[in-house]
Amino acid sequence: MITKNEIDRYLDSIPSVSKTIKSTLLYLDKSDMIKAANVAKEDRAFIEYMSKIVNKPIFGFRNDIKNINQIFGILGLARTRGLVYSYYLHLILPKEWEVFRFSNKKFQDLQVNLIIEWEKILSALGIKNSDLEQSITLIPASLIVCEMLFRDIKDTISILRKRNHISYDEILYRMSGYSLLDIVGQIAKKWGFDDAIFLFIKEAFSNSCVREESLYLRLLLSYEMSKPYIINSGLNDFFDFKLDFTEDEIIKFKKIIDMEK
Amino acid sequence: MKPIIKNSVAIFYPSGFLDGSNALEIITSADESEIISKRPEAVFVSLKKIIFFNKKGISYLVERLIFLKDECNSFIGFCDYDDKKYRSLLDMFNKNVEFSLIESEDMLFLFAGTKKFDSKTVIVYADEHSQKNQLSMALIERKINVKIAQDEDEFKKERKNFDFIIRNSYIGSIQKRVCVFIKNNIIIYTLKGFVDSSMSDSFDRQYHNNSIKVGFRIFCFDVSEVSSINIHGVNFLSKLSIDGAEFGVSIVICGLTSNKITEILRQDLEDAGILLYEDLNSFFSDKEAINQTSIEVQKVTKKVHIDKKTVSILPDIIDATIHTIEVLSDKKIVKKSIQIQNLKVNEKNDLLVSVVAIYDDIDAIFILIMDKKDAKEVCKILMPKEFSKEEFFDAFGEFSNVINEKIIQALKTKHIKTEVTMPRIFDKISEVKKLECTKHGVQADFNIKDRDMTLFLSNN
Repeated sequence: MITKNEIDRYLDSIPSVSKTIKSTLLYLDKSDMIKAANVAKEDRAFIEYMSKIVNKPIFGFRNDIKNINQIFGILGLARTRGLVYSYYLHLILPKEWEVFRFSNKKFQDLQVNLIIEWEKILSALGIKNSDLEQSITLIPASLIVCEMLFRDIKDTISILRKRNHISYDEILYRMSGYSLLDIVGQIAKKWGFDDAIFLFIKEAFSNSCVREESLYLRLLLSYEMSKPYIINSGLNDFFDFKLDFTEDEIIKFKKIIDMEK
Repeated sequence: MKPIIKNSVAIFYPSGFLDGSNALEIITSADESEIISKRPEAVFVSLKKIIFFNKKGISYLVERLIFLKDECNSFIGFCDYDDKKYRSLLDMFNKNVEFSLIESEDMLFLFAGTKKFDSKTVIVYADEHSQKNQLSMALIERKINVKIAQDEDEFKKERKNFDFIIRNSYIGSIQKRVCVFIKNNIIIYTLKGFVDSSMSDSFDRQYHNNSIKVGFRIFCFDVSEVSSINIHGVNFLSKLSIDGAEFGVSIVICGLTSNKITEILRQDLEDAGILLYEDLNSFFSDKEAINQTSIEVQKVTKKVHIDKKTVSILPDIIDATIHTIEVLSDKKIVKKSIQIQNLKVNEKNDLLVSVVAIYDDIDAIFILIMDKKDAKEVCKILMPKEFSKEEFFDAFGEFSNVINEKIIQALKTKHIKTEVTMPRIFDKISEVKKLECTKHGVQADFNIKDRDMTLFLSNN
C-alpha cells in the first residue's frame, strides 16, 4: 500500500534547488545569457549535465562542446531555460531503476527528445509562449515519482499488472487518492516552477481540454512512449489519457516531427 | 511487452504508434516463451490505445501471432478497435486474413477463455454471409445463445434487445492464394491484375487437381477485376481446360470484356473449350450449363489402397466431426463400427454428402455422409428459416468447412501440415460412388438417434 504519509515523506526527501541554479534562472529570465553562464559555472554537476545533454546526437553537433558559455550560446535562451528545468529532475533521479527496465541515460534521451519535438510542434502551430515551451520538462518527472513510490512494493504491483490491465496512475490513485500528476505538481511547487507551467500540463491531461497544443502534447507523448526503448522498459502504457485524434491531426503531427523520414 | 493472461486469454496492450520499428518489442521471444508455457486459448493484441498503425507493424505482429497459433493452437487476432481500424485492417490484407478481428475485449471472451456467459444473448450480423456463419458457429460451439440477423434491417431492429452486438468482427482462416469460393458446387477463382506467365506460379495446381478428385466439375474464373490477359495467361487457362477434359471438367471465364484480351486470344480460349460469360450473374442464370456437373466414371488405372499413415489421422477426423455435430445438434452420437472396405451405405436413405481432399503431408479423401434430416439440424443455425436447396447445400458446405478447419488445426499440433479443398456436396450417393476414392478406405459408422452417419477416409 502507498499511503498519504509515504507520499509526504517522499516529497520531503526531494532536495531543494541550489542557489547557483536559482540565480542562473533569474539571469535567464532577464535574458542575460553571459551572467547566467558565469553563475552556472559554479555548479560543476550542472555543467556536466548540460554538456552531456548538448552533445547528444539529436542536437547534431559534430564536435564535443564543453564550455558553458558556448553551450548557452548555442542553445539559445529558450532551450537553455528548458534544460535548466530539466536539470531539476536530474536531482531526483534514482541511482538504479528497479520498477522499470530503465536507466538515467534513457531518461535523459526521453527528456531531450521531448524538448526538441515539442519545440517543433509549437513552432509549427505558430505558438510563442515560454511557459508552454518549458512545460514539457516537467512531464518526465512522473516516471521518477512512479519509480520511487512503487519500488518497495514492485513485486506486488508486477503481479497485479500481470493479471489486470491497470495503469500505474490508477493503482496510485486507488491506493492513496493522489494521481502521479498531483505529486508532480507538488514537486514543481517546491522548486518554485511557474504555476502556468503546471496548470497547462494538468489541463492537457484532462478529458475536457480542447486547446490545440494540448492535443499535440498528447500525440507527442503517445509517439515518444511507443519508441522501442520505452516499450522495452515497460513504460509504453504509462500515460493513460484520451486518444481521440482525427486523421488530419495525425497526418499533421507526423509531418511536423518528420515521422516518415 | 508482457501480455496479460486471464481466463486463458492472453492480451497485449500496446499504445501510441505502431510501425515496423517498435512492433518487435511488442511480442518478444520472452513473451512467446511465456505464452507457449501457458498455452492460452486465445492470443490477441488490443488496438484500443493505438493511434496509428502501418502494414509493416501489423504484419510483424501477425507473423508472431501465427507462430503462437501453430505452437499452442490458440485463437489469434486483434481486438478493441473502431470501425475505421476494422476496415483498414481488412483492406490491408485484402480480406485474406489468417487472424481474427473481435470488436471489443468483452466480446473476445465470448469467443475464447473460461469466462461463462450463460444468460447473455448475442446478435450476429456481418456483410459477408460466410462471415456471419463463421462468427455464429464459433459462438454456438461455446454454447452461447445466438441470434443471426438475416439482413441489415432485421439487425438494426433487433440489436437493442441483446447483451452483445457482433457486427464488425471477422473470423480469419487459412485462405488459398488465389481467392477461392464456392457456389452451387462450382469453384470460383477470383483473379486480379494481369493474367500472364506469373499465373502458373501463383495458381495452386495441387488444390485444383484435388478439387477435381473430390468431384468438382465446373471451375469458374472471375476476371472482372483483371486488367488484361496475355498469350501466357491464355495458354495456361487453355491447358487447364484440355487437361481437365478427361474428367469432364468445364472451365468458365466470366467478365472477359474486349478491352482485356485480343480477338485472336479470345478465339484461342473458345477453341480450348472454355465457356465465356459476360459476368457471374449471366453464368449462374444459365441453368443448363451449371447443371452439367455429373461425375464421369473414372478410368481405374491402379487401385489405391489405404495406408497406415492415412488411417492414423482417423481419430482426429472423428473427434473434430463428432464434436462439431454434437455441439450443433445437441444429440449424442454413438459409434457402431470401423472397418477397412469400399464405401457401403444404405442407398435408400435420403443422404447428403461432403467430399474433401486433404493434402500436403497426408494425401487423403474424407467423405462425410449424413441423413438430410440430421444435416438440416446441424445447418439450422447457418440458414434462414425458409431456405432453398442451394442455400441448404451451401450451409452444409460451411458446416463441413468448420470440421475441416478443426482437422487441420488438430493435425498441426501433431506437426502434420495439411491443406483441405473446398467441400464438394452431393445429394446422390450413386454420384459419390463413381469417385475412385470410394473403392478402398476406412469406414466409420455412427448412429445419430436411429439414423446412420458415415465417415469414409481413403488415400488420394
